[in-house]
Amino acid sequence: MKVVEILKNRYFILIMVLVLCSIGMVIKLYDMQIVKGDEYSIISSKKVTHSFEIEAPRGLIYDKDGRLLAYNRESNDLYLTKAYTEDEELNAGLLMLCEILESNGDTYYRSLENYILRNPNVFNPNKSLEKIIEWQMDDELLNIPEKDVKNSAKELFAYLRKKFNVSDQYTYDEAFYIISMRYEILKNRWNYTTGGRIKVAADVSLETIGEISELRHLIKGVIVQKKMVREYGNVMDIAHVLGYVGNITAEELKDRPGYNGDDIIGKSGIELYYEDYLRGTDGHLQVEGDTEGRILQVLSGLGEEQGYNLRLSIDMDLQRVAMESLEKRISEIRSKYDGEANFGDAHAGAAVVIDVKTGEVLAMVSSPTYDPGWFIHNDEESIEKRLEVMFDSYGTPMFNRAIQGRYTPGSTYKPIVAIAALEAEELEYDSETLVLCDGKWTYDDWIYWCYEYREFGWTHGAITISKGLETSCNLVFHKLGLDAGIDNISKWAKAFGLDLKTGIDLNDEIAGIIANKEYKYLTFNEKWWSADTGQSSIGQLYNSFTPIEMAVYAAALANGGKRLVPYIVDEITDESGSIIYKAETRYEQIEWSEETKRVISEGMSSVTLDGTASKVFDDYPIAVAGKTGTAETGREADESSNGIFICYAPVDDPQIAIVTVIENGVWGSYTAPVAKDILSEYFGIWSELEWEKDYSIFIMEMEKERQPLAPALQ
Amino acid sequence: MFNKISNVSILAKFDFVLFILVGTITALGFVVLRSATASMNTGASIIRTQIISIILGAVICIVLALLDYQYFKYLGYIFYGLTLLLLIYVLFFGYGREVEGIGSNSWISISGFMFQPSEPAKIAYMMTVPALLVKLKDDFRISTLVLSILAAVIPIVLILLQSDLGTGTVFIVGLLAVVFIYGIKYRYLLIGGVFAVGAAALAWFYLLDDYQINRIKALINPMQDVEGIAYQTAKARIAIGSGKFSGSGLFEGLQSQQNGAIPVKESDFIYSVIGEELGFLGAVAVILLMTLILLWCLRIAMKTQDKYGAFMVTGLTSMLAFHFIENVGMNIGLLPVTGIPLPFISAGGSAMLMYFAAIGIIMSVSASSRSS
Ligand SMILES: [Zn+2]
Repeated sequence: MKVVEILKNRYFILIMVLVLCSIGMVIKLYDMQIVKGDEYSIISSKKVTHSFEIEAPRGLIYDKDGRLLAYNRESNDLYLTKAYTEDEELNAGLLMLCEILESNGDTYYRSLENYILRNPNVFNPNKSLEKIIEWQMDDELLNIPEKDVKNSAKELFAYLRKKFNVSDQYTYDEAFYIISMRYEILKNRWNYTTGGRIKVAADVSLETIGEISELRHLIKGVIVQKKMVREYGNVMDIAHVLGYVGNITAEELKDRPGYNGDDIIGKSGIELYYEDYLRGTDGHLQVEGDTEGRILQVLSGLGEEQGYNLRLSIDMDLQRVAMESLEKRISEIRSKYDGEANFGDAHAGAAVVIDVKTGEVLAMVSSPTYDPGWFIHNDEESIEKRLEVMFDSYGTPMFNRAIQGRYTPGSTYKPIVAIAALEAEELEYDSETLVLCDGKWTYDDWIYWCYEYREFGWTHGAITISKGLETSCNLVFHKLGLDAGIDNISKWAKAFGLDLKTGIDLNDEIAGIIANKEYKYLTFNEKWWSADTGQSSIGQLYNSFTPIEMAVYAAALANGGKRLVPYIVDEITDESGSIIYKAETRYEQIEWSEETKRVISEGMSSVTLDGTASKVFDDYPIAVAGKTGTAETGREADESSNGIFICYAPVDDPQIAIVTVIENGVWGSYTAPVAKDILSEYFGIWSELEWEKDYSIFIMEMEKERQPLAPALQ
Repeated sequence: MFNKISNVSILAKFDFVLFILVGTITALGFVVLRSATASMNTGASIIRTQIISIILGAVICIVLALLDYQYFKYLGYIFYGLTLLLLIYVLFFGYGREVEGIGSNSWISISGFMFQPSEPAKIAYMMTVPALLVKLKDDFRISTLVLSILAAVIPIVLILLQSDLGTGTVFIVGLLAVVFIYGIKYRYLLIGGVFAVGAAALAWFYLLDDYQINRIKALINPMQDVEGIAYQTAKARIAIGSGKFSGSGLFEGLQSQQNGAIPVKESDFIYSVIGEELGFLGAVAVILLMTLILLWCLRIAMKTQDKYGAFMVTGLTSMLAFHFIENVGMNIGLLPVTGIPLPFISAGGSAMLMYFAAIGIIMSVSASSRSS
């Protein structure tokens, strides 16, 4: 009994402790909320903590000579923050904001309009029940009961007008502005809080900023934030290499932790490949402001750090000449329509210039091209142009033909067949061996022709391999190829990396295809015939390579067999100029005999002296080793063949290798002038006169005004 | 005993008063949590976790309420051993420190699901220590005493080693309450008190890290230093104060709806959201509800004739009481800031399950005292 009594007493003590604590807390609350409530309220409404991210400016991109290609400029974005205003006041302010933006020609976010444009069936009177349910379930819009919104746009408008308390005093147009902005808020309601913010317009004009700050007392809760945004100089010639930036998409966001939903990210080219270097480190700021978004005091923050700067190996002068020459050649070829071989359909091309000693890409052009500026500006013209290039399925200007286009090499493949024959130990070919072209040859029940014999009735006779390269006699190479065998040819094509990505510092490079037994078996599950070897020997059949692979191949022919890894970014530096990264020359050595090298070099040199490209290089002061290629596309009845030319120069001490490709360019020799122009620019042997004469018409045609690459940064 | 229980219908034994009181405060808390997380981009996932925790918690609560708590006497040892292992594991492999060397390292992750072993440890502790004390009371032996002391002290030491002062205190308060009800002589309590003060002084100078000391110091004048911890508590007090009599209304609190104003507003400082959005009325209602729940639990402890049940209920109730008093106390600036959440209201999976488990056990004791 006694024990129970003690227990009971002790429980009583515990109860007393609990009750006293509770009473104490209530007293304290009474003091805070009832006695000092007003005091705290004032402090509370005065101070609002805003915290936001500051996106770092991207690194700058220069060409080889330090000319600025991509830089940053200051822009102003508009945000809204919850400012504790009544609907009436908020609506009036938003209308004023819209009117200011409209009057200055600034664009702003229009989610409602876009939603309706994307979902036209919203207003379809024959809308099915499922559609109505879908419409109601759409979190992006509103939870509108079926009875409130039926089918027509008018009814939706009336509903929204009522929902947002837009008074009758406003006209239809005014009400629409208000509803648009209110919808923007509704859509982003999770961020539209005190201290939170939602973006309503990007990159508005200074006039708008000025007018807003004058009317601040009427337009509450508007925050203007400065931001550095990407800007490009006159970079159409280098668009595919440089790439462009844009808002990060939902899919990209998934793969890139550390990014926010409204971040800018590289979308293609160098901007994409070097995203991690260019991006910089975002800063953040926590400030104390009033409820209308005015900043009173900075609480804490971390400054943003600009991204690293890149210096490209591309020489913009060379790049420009390559592009202009390519485009000029394309339009010239079109004008030479003859309806037999030339159907006037030349429309696209690519050129790659590579330093044969280092692997630096000195120029890489792809035509047609686009202006990266179209992707970062939001004026009507840019948007129109952007859509035009994105959906141009014939010209495909967004496609970087230099790394993503695969072209049948045609005769430019012949040096490989020559090497395979010369290097085959079981065969006895050397520089002196004569191969007979007697016009026509039957092997394995297949008739091989010399093109000249079939077309003009004459033959090449017994010629050396080097002479074979010069004349590009198909029959000689059918014979060499069949003698060497497909395995040998394929081995050498592989040695030059023609079925591998070169490893250039650009995304989306594709690998070429070498015609061989393995490919045929794996792709078509078919047996290899000797006729296949015959076709492969003149660079036809499945053979198809990218211009960058061809450039690496041409460079390897030039530099004694170094298969280089080409690169575009030469140097990465931080803001202070210290070097973060410096590109290094990397290559794999291909082993082949001196004699073979000499045969190839002699053969290719005579191509520009007496051979297929001799007309183009008539009296050219520098010895150029080249090889033309005319690639049948298989649709020769009404489509011109592709023209390809590879070369390197000077022959004695090669410095650069060039590949030029023109789609439907008719003949390989038609593309050689592009390479010649590039050589002339590179070696400074440009005759001013010739340039003027050749280009004056072209320039008029293009109506392309030369502007400085980028305005000097203030 | 089993016969007796099975003769009485389940419904008659079920402590509806306690269940409804807990249900009410949980519902209120859930509504407030939705408002507190409205401005957070993690809000939806917090709410999802909370819904799952409440449902799971209610199931655990009902199951435990229908079980005979005498089983816990023995099952408790196994459970206790398991949680002890987890506490040792977390000491080496746990994470959760926001900054290296600061804050507690008390979380572990099991296939992506984060939980704090100290939560189940609270339940295991209160199943085991009372059982040993009952044994000691029935048959006093030195060996039992030593065992009891070890069982009581080891988890506390392990938790303090995680630098989790708040949780450590929860155990100490629970233990003190049980020992108090055990009937320990007041002079022993006095001697113990003197030792405790000495230990606290020692801890202040040697054991606590700067982070913990700062949190206690911030109490002294939270309005002065705007940055850091004091700034956080100041924001919480501004929020509560500005709620005045009836509050700003849910989803309308100026401070509550900001991100970065009230710290951890979905958990540790959710009471500030209640204060601002529901005002004095809401804040007092929470105190009233919690006090009623705790008093009802103490009533169960008093009514039961079984010492094990009485000790266990007292211990668990005291732990809950400490959670409640400490959390509200730190929100209104009366007590130092620790990471102790507000029972049934703060977001958090493992803590939520622990509260419901505790209520379940208490209901089980209530049921058996009704049936006897
Ligand atoms: Zn011939």
